[in-house]
Amino acid sequence: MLAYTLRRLLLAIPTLFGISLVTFVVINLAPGDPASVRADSVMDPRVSARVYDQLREYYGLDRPLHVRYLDWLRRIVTFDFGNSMTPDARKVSTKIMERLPATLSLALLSLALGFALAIPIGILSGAYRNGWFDTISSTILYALYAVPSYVMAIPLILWVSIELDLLPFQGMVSDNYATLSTSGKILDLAQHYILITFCFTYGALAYQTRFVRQNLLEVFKQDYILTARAKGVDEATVIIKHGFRNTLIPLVTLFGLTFPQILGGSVILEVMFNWPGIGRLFFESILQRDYPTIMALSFITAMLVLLGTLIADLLYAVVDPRVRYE
Amino acid sequence: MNTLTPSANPRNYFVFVPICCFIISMIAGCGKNQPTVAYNPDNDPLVNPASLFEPAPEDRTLIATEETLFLNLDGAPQNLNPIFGSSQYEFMVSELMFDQPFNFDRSMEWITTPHWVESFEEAQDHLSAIVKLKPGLSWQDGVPITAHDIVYSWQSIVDDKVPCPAVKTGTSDVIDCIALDDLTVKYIHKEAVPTAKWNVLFPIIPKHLYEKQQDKNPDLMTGDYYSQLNRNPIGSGPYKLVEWAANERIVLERWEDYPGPKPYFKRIVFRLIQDRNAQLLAFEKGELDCILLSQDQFANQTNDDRFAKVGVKLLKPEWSYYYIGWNMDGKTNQFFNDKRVRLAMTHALNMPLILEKILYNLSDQAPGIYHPDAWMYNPEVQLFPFDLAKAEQLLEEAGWIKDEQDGWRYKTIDGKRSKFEFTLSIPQGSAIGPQVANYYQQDLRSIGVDMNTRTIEWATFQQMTRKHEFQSHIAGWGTGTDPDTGWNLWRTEEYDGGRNYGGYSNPRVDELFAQGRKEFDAEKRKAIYQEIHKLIYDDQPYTFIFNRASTYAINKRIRGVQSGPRGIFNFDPSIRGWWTPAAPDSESAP
Repeated sequence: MLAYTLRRLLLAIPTLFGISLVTFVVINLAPGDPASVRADSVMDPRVSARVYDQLREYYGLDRPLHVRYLDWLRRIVTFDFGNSMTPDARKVSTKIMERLPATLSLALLSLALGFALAIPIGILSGAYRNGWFDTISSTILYALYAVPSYVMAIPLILWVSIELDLLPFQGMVSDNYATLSTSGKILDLAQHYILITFCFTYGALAYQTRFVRQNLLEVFKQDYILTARAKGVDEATVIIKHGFRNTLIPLVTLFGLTFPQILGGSVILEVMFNWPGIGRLFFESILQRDYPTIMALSFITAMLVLLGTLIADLLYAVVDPRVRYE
Repeated sequence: MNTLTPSANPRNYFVFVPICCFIISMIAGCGKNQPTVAYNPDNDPLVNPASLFEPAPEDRTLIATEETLFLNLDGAPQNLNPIFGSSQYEFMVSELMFDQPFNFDRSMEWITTPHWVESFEEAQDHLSAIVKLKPGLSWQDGVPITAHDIVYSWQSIVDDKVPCPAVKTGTSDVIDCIALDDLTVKYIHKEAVPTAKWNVLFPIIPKHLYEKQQDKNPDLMTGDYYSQLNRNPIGSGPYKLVEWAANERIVLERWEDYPGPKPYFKRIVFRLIQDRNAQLLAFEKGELDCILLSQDQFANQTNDDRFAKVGVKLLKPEWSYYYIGWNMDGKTNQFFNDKRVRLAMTHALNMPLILEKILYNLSDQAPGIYHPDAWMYNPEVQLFPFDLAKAEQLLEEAGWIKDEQDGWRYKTIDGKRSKFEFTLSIPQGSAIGPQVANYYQQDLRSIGVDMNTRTIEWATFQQMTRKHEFQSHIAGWGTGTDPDTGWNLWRTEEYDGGRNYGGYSNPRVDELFAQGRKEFDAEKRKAIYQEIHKLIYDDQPYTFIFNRASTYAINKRIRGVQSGPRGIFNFDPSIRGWWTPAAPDSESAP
């Protein structure tokens, strides 16, 4: 297991290398650069042209592409992402660490919640196929699935936050957060998480539930289920022990695939809920052609995605005794 | 817009305005019904109530001075050192934290700051000026403000090692800045021009803090020390920074030892909500006191009780205009270097429809480069009306003949038969652009002209514009402090390296701009710029669309709002003059 994990981690290196190279080339091919974005803000083009050259030199953009990429690689080995090429000029790592918890916590929470709900609903639907629970739950879930989360967000905010005035909808904490007691802080955070987590989760829920149900139905067709029933095992044990356990393998694959989606698909919701996550940072960095931040974010996202798939692969061994990593 | 809000030095130059910010506006209506009758702001009881503009009373006991003002920023500031500011929203915060000896007021008149300046004198030859500061001024950390701070600020701004593009403009036309004694500064101008005094309007930063690590980080920007200082600067203005929650809010608190006129709000909270719908919702919840409304929001989404309970609307003219710019350099197209074609294009734009359907009667047709309220406006300018027959006639005259088979217009140029087909570039995120293009496309089709549209991301749009790589584009200009700022927009030589993107050329306009720059007599200057106004309008290098209006939603409790050519922010006093009455007649704060 350990050797396998190490091997996978080593294999991740060329993948990350490839991703970083492609990203680097692509962002450099896009029109404009950090110097031009800022020089364009100067309304006297004579000054602007001079400022442009100065900024290019200042940011080292006047060097050839491969030199800059090698330089970036050299620094990345020590996890030095450099300074942001915006007036902010802070360390990119600081900027990202400020934002990463907001996005990561949301992604994990939404993932956990999604599976925690999808599994029981899926099992119930599968076990009582075409029964009333199956019909009602799939109708509701499909209806939700059809509504994109950003379309859902506005009416939801309007109803829950404005009309009923139940929950906040802006940011992660209230203005008076610093003055609250510890329990007050936890409550405040929790309230801010509810709406956005719902919007993040509900879409995938239909899919995940359907996935569990469908797999369960597949498993039910197997001979060993027939055997189990034939030897008089009670239905609950058949469903959980013989049936559900065998649906876990595809479910783990689904987990590996869902994680990057949740991580990447957050820009719009982050904007609507004013969530201080990396999705917005990514978007803003692209508009400003802030190369170091774009590179660092692609790199970190790629790393997290690889990590997610690795965890999924390792989980196979946990859920399926036949799988052994040597 | 964000970040993509066009960034510019608010002092001296035109602002290139993307038609809206890069906001991802989703569903706008929130289920409200569209009115069947055209919206008319004159009949809207919520527009411009007198109380909104009521100046603060002398007696401070009538004012609630412990209140918090909640404002929104369209993008997240990156740096609060005013010399590094590059966007309107950064200046909005930093100008509350920093004072400077010179400023401009709502009507963009150049003014001195009374509690800073003892006297200001310009030399007879207009080549230098001397300012005497009042004694006793200090930074927020208690260190006195002296002439050396001003000299140091000037040196930093013009220093090539300091990357502060936005404020270098203008400031670099001051060729020397000398401290005659601790309280006296002499400015030496590069040229004797009437606009020279605008060049001394640069921000002042504390020398004692910024020179500390200059050997290590000569850019005054990188390194832990400057990064910390620029995000939490020690200023000279009426507010101090107390909290900066990354990407959520910035909180300022009144500096009680401020020597100037004390502002009325104790705290100012800047939120960073980007989505327009979310902004409106936050406003209705009382979490924001002032937000910019889109035309659609102004006309259709702010007429219900929920809005009326908390807010009123401000509608005031701004001197900014939107236009369709024609590329006349003959390289990307063979249409628009012909004046008759440009006139035809203007006659084909259905302005009455656009004003009613897209702008909801909130804005007026733009009469060229100057606003009707401006002193340079020429009342003799005659607007070209929407007239498709006239447009067709002009196109015929220009040799673009309709093919009866397919209905498009063709002309044989150098033995080659060319179709009248061109592309209109629209910056991404523009709310108005695609709507205007939509109507325009249909009308042009009816007269045999085939217009394609292309939406382009802002940074790319700017680059293509700069390189003249467009056939026509839709964009907007804010106003400069002086018409001389139009120099690099309209003079022939500004095609190379200037902002004369479309290649406009009129020798008389070139000559007039040169005269205007040197003319000190106000009446003569007026005549010069009025002539320019008419000449440019008659040449139609742009099809002028409309003058944008300031359209804001403001909480009912707010008083003392002023507006001017640039809107309601970024002049003296702007937010500093806002107030709210003491209880009992005030609405309670959220």
